[in-house]
Amino acid sequence: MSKRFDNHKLKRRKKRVGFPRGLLYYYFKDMWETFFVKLGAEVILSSPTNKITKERGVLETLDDECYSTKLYHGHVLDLADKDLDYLFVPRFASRKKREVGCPKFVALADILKYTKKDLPPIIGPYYSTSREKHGFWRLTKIIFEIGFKFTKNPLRIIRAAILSLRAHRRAQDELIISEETLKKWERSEILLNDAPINDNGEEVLKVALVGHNYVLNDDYASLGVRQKLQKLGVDLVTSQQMPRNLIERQLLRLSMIDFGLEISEPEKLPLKELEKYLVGRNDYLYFEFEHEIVGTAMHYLENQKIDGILMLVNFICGPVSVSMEYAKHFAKKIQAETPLAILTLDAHTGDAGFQTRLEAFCDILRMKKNKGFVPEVIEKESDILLKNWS
Amino acid sequence: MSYITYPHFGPMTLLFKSIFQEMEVPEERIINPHTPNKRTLDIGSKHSPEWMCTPFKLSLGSLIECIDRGANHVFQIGGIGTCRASCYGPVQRVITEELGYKVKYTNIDYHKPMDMLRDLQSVSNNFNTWQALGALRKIWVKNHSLDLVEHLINFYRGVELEKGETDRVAKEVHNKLFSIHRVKEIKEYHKLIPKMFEDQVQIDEYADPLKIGIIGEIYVVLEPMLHLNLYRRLNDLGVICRNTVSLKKFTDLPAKLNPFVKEYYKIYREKARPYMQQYAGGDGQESLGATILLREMGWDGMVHVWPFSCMPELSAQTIIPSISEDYGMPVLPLIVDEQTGEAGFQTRLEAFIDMLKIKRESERNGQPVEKISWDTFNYD
Repeated sequence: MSKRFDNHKLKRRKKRVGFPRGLLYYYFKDMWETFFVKLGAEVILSSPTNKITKERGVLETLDDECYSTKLYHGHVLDLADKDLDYLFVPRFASRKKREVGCPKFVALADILKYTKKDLPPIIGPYYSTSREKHGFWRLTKIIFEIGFKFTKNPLRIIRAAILSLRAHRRAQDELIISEETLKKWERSEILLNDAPINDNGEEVLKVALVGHNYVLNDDYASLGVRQKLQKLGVDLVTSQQMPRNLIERQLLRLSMIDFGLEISEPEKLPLKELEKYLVGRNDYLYFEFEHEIVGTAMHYLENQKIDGILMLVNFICGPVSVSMEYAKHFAKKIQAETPLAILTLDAHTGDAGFQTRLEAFCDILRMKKNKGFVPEVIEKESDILLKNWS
Repeated sequence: MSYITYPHFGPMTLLFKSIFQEMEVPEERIINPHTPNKRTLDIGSKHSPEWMCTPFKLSLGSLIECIDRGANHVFQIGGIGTCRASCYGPVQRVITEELGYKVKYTNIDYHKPMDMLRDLQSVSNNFNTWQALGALRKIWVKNHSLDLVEHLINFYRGVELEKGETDRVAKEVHNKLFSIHRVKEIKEYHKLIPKMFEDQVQIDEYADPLKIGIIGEIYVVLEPMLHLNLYRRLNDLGVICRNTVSLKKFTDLPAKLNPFVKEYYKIYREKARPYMQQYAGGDGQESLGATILLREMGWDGMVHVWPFSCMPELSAQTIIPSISEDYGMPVLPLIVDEQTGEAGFQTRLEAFIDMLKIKRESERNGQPVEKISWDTFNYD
């Protein structure tokens, strides 16, 4: 009797799919989770980043690997002993014609396969619109290939796919705010994130927190920057929340002569007129996940409505080295008044040092806000306002 | 009046020089980059982002030197790529703008040959498309010969009896090659080149040298300033070597159009497919494939050179140990940046070669030494 019961239980057991909690997971989590759940699978997440994840990841990878990838390896190891049927590590290259993700995402599945033993089979669909000109049919193929691993009912797969795309869109709509809302936030009428704590009566600062999704939303990797800033009395907007049209305007500026500063809304020009201002063909920042970083930084450097910009980057991230350069040069070009601080994170960043830097940054912002200027000594000695002070 | 310049790119600089010559740009309007030195690299790294890859820094340095000499029109890579290589042009434009230079950039997207042709046509002496294509044709034919000369040098220099003989012949061939302007003559001369080396350089046929392949990022593999004369160092240690990457990947238009020709890099990529399924930028996949292919042909080892913070090669480097284990192929990774020291480089190479010799002895079991010649070495 008990044996029959066990068999029954085995049959009903859902297939388990593991998601490492890192990198692309933070961009597409709603889409992926809905898809697999609707297919009838059980989604297993690795535990949130912690000290063990970090240490295992650091031991596992080469020294030159970027910090987020190191953590990702740690997450995979965390999943390895969770009795999984599949591990989901997509080979994602790009989703738009003129955009590319990070080249490391493409090779990640293969790297995991050959550096770790006893991993469950990896589901790693390849999708690249820019290089291989993939489109709707390729996506359909991927969806069915994955779907038939879990169910034999094609209608169920189609339903799962549609629902997952809808979930993704809904999540994006919720996350990204409109231009009016942003303006309201700039006038301090509403809050976008947690309320700042200013119990010692200091004025609330408005800061844009800029960085990759997988840095800002990972509390351990970013050393709890959001809570720390909240306690320092800072009202935040993150780069993910920024309206897309503002970001696209700034991207257009990047490929214009002298950043097209005399034109306030370059995206509204007719194409023929716009071409006069462009530098030339083939001049475009094509890293997809850098757009919001560069766009947000440039937008706030230009409109000067907030007190400061804090950019969090992790060590030796390739694409970020490009976007950092763009942001710095833009700041120098327009003689920006808004301070921009770039903080580097890696496996050895200490919590205390990080806290001190944040405090120093906030102090300088307050000085600037209350007195209207920063004492010359500080400006000279600390090198904070424009340069990388990590 | 525009003065044209382009970044330095190893032995291929000669090629770029002759592109503009063939396009009949007046001699005084082309500003050719000098061979880079320590100062070039210093200028480049001073003005570039800290984490940018080393080729960016060197090419920026050589561009700034050229701009200082009066150039105001730069040809550089651009477009939509996979790794950072395609944003060299845009980022260098921003940097030189800030330094106060008024320079026009023409970014060439090597994925689009027709656009490339049009860009070159715009600086030429009123060439129509057909003439421009004819001029470009000479380039890829010359590139073919240049590659052959490089391979020949790296073979003969390792086993030559009288030191310096190969370099002399190579110089002669280079001079002759860049003085010919008709495609037919170049092709005829191309066939004579191996014979010239065979006749003029005496080799030790029973020297029993190690055979080492060089894989890695294309700029570093081709640029002596960055790989610190790796080929010469290996040759001096009595090893013959061969690089597995070539600019042919981008310039060999007939091979791209002809469905019956399989380009060399596609063969490598197919070999690498079980280990890295998809192309992940740069030359990462080719590096893996070349390792497998050369092992199957009985080569002794590989040297993998790549610039610090290169993303595709880092992916490849992570997978290489498992290939090494599966095929029994030793691979020496050498990461170069602007601070690489020569002594450490040399020591590592010597140690690697000693270990390869020990490995070969244990595998050979007293079989007689094979007679070596160019034909047994060449695999194209």
